[in-house]
Amino acid sequence: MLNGRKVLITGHTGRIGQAIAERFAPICDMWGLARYSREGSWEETVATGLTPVRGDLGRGSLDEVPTDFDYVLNIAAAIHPATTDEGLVDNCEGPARLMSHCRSAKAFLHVSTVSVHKYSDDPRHVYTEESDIGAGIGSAYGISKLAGEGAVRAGAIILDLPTVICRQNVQYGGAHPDANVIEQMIDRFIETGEVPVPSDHEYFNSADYLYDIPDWIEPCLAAASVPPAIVNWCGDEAINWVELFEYIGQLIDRQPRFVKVGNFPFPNSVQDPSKRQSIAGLARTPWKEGFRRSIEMRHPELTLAKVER
Amino acid sequence: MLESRKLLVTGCTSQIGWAVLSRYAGTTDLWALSRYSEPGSFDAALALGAKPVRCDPATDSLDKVPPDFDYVLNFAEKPDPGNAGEGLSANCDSIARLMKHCRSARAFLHLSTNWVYKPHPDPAHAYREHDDIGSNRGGQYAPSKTAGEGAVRGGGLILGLPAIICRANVVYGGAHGRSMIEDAIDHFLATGEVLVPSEGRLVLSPLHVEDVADLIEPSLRLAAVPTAVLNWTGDEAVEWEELFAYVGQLTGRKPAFSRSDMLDGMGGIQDPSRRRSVAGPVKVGWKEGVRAALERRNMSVAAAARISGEEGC
Repeated sequence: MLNGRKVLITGHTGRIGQAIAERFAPICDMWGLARYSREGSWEETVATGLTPVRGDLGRGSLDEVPTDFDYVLNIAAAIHPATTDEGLVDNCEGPARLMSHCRSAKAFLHVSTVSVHKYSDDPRHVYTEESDIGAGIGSAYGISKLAGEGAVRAGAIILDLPTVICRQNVQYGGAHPDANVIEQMIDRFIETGEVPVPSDHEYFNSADYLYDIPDWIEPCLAAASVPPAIVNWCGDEAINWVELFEYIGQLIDRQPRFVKVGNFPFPNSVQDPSKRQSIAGLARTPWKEGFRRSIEMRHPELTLAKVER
Repeated sequence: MLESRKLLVTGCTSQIGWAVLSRYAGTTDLWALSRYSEPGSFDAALALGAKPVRCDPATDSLDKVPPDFDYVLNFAEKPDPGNAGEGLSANCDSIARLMKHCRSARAFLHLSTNWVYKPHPDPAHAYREHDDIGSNRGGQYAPSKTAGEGAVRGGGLILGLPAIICRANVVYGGAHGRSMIEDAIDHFLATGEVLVPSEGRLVLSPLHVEDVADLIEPSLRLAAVPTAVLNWTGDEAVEWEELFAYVGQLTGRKPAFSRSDMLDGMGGIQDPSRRRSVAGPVKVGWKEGVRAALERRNMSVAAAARISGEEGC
């Protein structure tokens, strides 16, 4: 589907975008849109095989960006907006400006987040694509992404641009120096033996393995429609936080010391993978396999034990 | 500004829609979009001098609707969506369809709600237009209105269509439609009871519907790309109990307050500064507005009592 096509990607300087860019740059004419404010990011993009183009979705010009893309993969997001007003510029108005610019595309893929849902207190609650939307999971980020979904829906309807909204869980697995939330916890465990756990509830998520995500790009683009389709991006399994760290403890031969904290930083976020499974098949990497590989990548100094999966 | 212009108003049979229709039907070329499910409402709109069109912008084709409006006033909304999909269709996607259809308009005014604001721990906090948003109030209502604000922003940018989001407090006092104030007045008149939140205070800055009609032109002048935001709020904050103590004085009947979680999280006051700076102070304070609403209700209650009395004979 993307073979030989002209494709625009945003957010390729982040982890998910980078994994997708690495997969598809060799087979298509892929352009990478970013501000390139971080030193070396332009050169890294060239090295990945992309044509870098400078632009700013929310606050600057898109004048240098071509308009004749076949497909757009909008993965960029402002993850820590200080206020919702600030988040709206990057996470709501930005996607609209990009859609407007690339209106002749065959399909537009927009990465959203499980944080657009109304938070459920039940740790085992499973968010489907139809579950209630609202506040509570991701504060200013989640709300600006919810408004962003509104903008993307509007863009699809106004421009008649087939669109798919992919609601991402939390990913893990890259050797990217900028560790994500789960890997920061793993690093801390390896360093100190400590693992924070919520004081008053169990914690589950359905994290997805970074290198499984590119498998879903083409099936999701094929599902793009007007109004937009919604597809959960998550792993196939609900992962129990304590079980995860007991498993990692076995791998590194260290007993985790669970420390109860009142303000555990992550909300429960198990998503239903069945729609994604129906269009893209099962996730390739079970979590035990994925976390083993992740630790091998991030901590080559460790020798991991053989553990029954 | 609006005189002899071509206007599209949606949600015409709502409290706000009807007041705006009544104000502008004679002096503008006013097209009034609604489902008109209430018997007689289509003819009533016609009688006001508007051009009623039966259409739900969320689900129906807009083919019968001309595209060449000067201004669009979008009051249509679903206050009680049953689920996320219903909310997004009615309170988000419908806006995009309308903006697309009316892309040549000079300005697009969209009605939103103060319930999109992120609840502040202090119930007397006056929300300003730049305060954080994000709430689950009214089930899927506030979340779908939040996505709807995103649709307005997106549509405004994509179409280059100047737009303004008007976040309304409790609007009350009209001949058509109801608000939580009227609901509570009716309940009080029928039973003597007034529900109050199960915990905490309920504070509002209600806006009389006559003042809303005055806000249309100043609001349209603020429309911009990217979309502007304006609080549609009264000038005064009032406690729910204070409001009903006053209703009690006027009716000579002491309200029996009883706690109910039905009213939890229903309040919220907004900062009127920006509205005042473009439109001046409101004309109808809450006491005057509540008295007028009560007189209207009292008359109908009295009439209803008389009719049922006659039937009983």
